[in-house]
Amino acid sequence: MKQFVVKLLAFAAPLLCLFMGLEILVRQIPNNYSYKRHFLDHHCRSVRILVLGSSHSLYGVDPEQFSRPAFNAAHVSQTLKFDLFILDKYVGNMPDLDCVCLPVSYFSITSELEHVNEGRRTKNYVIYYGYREFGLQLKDHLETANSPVRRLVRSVGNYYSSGMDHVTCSPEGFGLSYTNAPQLDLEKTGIAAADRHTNDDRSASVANEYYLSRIVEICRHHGVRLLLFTPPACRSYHERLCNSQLKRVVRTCEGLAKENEHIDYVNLLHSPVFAEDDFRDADHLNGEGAVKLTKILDQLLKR
Amino acid sequence: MTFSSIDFAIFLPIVFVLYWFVVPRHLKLQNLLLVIASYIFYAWWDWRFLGLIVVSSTVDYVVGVLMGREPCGTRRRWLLLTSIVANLGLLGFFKYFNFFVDSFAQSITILGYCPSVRSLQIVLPVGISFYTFQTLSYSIDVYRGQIKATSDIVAFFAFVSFFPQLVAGPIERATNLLPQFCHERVFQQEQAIDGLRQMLWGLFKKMVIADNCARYVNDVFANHESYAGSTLLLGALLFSFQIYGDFSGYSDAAIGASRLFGFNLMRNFAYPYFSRDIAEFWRRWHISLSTWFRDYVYVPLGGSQGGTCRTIRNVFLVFLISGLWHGANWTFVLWGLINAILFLPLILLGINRTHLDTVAKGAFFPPFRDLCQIIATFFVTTLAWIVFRAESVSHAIRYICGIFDSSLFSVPEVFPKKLIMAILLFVSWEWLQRERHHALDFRHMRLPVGVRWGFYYALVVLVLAFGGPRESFIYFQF
Repeated sequence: MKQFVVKLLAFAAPLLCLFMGLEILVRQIPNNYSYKRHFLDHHCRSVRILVLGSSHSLYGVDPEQFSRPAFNAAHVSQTLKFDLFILDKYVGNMPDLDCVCLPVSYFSITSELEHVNEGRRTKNYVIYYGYREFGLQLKDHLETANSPVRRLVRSVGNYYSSGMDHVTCSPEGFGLSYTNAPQLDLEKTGIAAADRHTNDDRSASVANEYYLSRIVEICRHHGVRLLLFTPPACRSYHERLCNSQLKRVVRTCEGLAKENEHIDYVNLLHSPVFAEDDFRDADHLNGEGAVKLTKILDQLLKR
Repeated sequence: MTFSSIDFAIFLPIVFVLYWFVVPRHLKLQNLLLVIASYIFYAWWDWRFLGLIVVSSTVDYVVGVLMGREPCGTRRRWLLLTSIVANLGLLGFFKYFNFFVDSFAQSITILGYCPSVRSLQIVLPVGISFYTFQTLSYSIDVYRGQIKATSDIVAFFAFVSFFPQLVAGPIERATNLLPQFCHERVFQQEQAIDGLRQMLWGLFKKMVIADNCARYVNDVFANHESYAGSTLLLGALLFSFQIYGDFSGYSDAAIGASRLFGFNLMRNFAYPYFSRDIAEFWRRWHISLSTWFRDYVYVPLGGSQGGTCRTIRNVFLVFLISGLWHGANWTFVLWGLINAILFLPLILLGINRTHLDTVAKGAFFPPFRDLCQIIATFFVTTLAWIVFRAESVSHAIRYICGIFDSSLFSVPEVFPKKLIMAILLFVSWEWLQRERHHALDFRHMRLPVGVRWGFYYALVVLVLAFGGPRESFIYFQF
């Protein structure tokens, strides 16, 4: 038995060392999460508008277009739970904060990061933002458990040989990947996204509505205005949405705006202001579309 | 927690150390540890369904004990019936309720009625089909007198929930596994090392072969209208390797993990794609299920004893039930029916037990005739897999029609060269090892340690570096 264990340890030791080394090296590569966390930790005092949300706001709201200092703390597939976490963690560090812009998309009320294909992103909040919660899995604490080793090795090689990091946002946190990217097939992406975002299982709704109510409370407590908006999308996307799911989102936001003086809600899903040229794919704006959307939000905030 | 997860990589050594170092040579405590570990393993998916395993185990334990007190008579039959109703009732409710309700509603609609039927939102508990069949086999074996009822509740609960094979088999027989829980296990280094090798091969099959195939298969099956016949055929072939890699990989890992704890589970796959006819294929594919149906359905129905017509009826019944066991969808029923039809000529010609031995035993290459038979069997199996993989019967028909099109002879739009190379190497390796218990069985070879370790490291690197996007094990859904 002892011999077996010794042999096994001898066999596994180099592999464990390699994994640990890789984990350490990967964590050193700057990415959007570590960049935004660093910004919020050290430079957020002057921020007056904080943008939260998913890729819809990461690529759709350009803080540079606001007339006041703004920062975009959105991440791909960021759910209301993590919006709440970021707001709760940093609102106290932002004495000048006037407003929080929060997209409430078609899927916002019915999706949970842990239960969609993007579940691997939970680890970014755990590793880079220090997120802690009962029920986190071991893999949520490790980079190496969430990506193929081949990709991690390539990333490490690229970073340490030619300095290629994973930061793909502007200094204000705006996602740059879609700014000048060629447009994808709007029909195809519309069908796929509508299908992906439609969720028959409404079990997440109660939790998400709670997170939203907590965001409302925090904003009220700190005297911050909350601008909720449903972002624009192409016809190929919005005409395939489930009516009841969409109604629930709109009804929830309208209800909050009605009941709370510090909340505004605008539904831009069918907005005629946005032409097909403004989209990168059926539900994401490109650089020009982002400028338009941000200016609309800025006008609303000036009211 | 799956075998390919980091959680399991931590969980397994902890249980191993506790099992052999903290409670060694203490049978009761070892069994209790296995029950606790198995429940934790299961709860990692969904703790809410742990109750079902407890209920299923309790029912069969009590039924077994009571049957043990009744030497014969009607009471035993009632007890067996209780076990069957309880187990199949649970299975039927969680797995088939919506299917039957929807199918009933559809058939009523055809007759011109518009019933307002609402199906329930029922979540299918992982592995319910596996552990239900395992406990059921115990009650039936006790009833038949093939095994004595156990009074050791801990051993019985450990037998039902044994974590390596809890969620996707092999579906163990009480006659094989239960006695192993009742006798002291002795650590055998050779067995443990071979178990680790088998686990490694299982993970290779799952993560390198199956998961990489899945990437292409998912795309081709989802967008089959836009692909040429040649691509659809390639997609179907890749699915054949995906499901084999996925399921036999899980079985290998399960058997290997069990051997670390001193258990020997039954073999579940015996190189099925080297079969020369469909009967041989079913003797080599998912052996634990095939033999379950043979012993508890086919034989009680009369097997092949009542003439050709009765044999055909029994074969059709077994395949239809087997299809339905896989899932609550007409595609699985049709898949079972296709396999029964493929079986039919062999029964009629009386050649369904021709190929009982390993193909080309002792030879490097197969005879030409065997090779042709292997290829033909593989292709008909692949066509049947299309129905298995499709979302619906119409999807399957459209997919198959798409293959048999003039575009079948065009160059496939999707051609993953590296993956195909990997599959060819994988098949070649399995061919070389086809007479062994598993493909990494080196016990007959005397290789230097450096060569063996180099080989293992190479496999580990392949698994880590070329493992595809992590897909759930296909058979978990059954």
